[in-house]
Amino acid sequence: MPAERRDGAVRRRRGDGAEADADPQFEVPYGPTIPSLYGMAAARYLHEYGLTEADLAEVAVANQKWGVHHPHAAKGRFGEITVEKVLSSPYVSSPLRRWMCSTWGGGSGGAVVVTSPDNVKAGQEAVYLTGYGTATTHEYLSDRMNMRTAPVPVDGRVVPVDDPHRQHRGGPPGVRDGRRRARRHRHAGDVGELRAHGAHDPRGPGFAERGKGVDLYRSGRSGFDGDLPIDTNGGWLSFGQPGISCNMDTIVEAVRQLRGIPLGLPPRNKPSTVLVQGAGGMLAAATVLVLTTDGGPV
Amino acid sequence: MPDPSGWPQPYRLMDAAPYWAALQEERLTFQKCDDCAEAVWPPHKYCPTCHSEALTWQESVGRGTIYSFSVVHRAPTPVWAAITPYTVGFVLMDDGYALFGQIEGDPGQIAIDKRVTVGFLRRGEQKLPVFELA
Repeated sequence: MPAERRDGAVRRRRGDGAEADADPQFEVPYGPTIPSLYGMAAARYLHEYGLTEADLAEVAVANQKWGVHHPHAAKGRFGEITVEKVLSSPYVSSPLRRWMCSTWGGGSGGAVVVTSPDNVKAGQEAVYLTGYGTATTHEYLSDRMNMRTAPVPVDGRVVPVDDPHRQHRGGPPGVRDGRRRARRHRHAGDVGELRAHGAHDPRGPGFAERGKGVDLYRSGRSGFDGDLPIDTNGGWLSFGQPGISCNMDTIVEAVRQLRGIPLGLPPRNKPSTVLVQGAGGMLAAATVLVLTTDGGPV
Repeated sequence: MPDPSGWPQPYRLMDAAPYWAALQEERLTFQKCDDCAEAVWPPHKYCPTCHSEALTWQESVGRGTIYSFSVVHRAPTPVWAAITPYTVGFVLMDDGYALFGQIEGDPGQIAIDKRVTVGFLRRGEQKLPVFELA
């Protein structure tokens, strides 16, 4: 997402124009870009799970399979791609290559939420919101990397503070102690590794084991015939994303699939429940909605 | 005003004034909480761990381990485009905090878990910390 959204005035005054959601004080002076901030998350994820760039490329390939059928997908016109094609595209910021980065697109999505049945129009199929949750953990990645606690269980590095008073009595925790605690909790790459590819992270909501998210794409489970169709409009990678309202496009796609009126392809088995995962900031915020045509008004 | 050199300058906030001043003397500093002994970074008025106001600036040992990194090939502006490819990354400092910065050297040699030491580089008006492989 472009810097102008939040502190564009600051950036323009300094004249750097860095297109990054980076800390203006402690990150921007070193030249980060958004792909580099996500690239760090991806590099760590590959390192922790022994995965490769070819594994990450599977997500782009899978998204493009959906995207080529959607009339509004920004990359749809390029046709289907292969892992080799993804890996032969130039680096934007390692390990992310051009085909692994999101492009501009979408942005016209919107939704009106009404009560049912009183405000549902005749002939309209009601889609129900049966659950939602949201959490934000930080502003910039420097804040995230120095977090000692989190409001919810998070992936990646957290150096926990079990009991400040006990630590105070016991004297300063040594560096070795800090390392040990860090290792114990450094158990997973962040959800950003797949989000960086503009896709839902199927591991985040619990559809895959840690480090196994890419298998959902590679095995075809995320495709037309699969049991877990993912990013049916092409996702942020192929559909594109406008920076701010990208998750609105995802909601629109979910509602269209639930009503059986997708602009692109429907999965072989029409879904009755869809999970919408929205990501925001630099691995900073997540929101989940559960939409369904099952059930009815409370 | 933009720095005449073209390099982006840090948007300095008051809590961090001692940090930027020390860097001009080629000293890397961070805050430490006198009450709970946690390293505090980025700088704060209060300790984010125990809410104490007793934060003291102290000098970093200047060494750490690469947590992750990314080699930038598509630069955001012309000054950065002139030095691509360059590397940014997070370093777990031996002092117990994580610092973001540029990692100098051959990108092919930079790797997670490698040790780095801090040096200093003038970019326009401000001297900045910069890491290199130990």
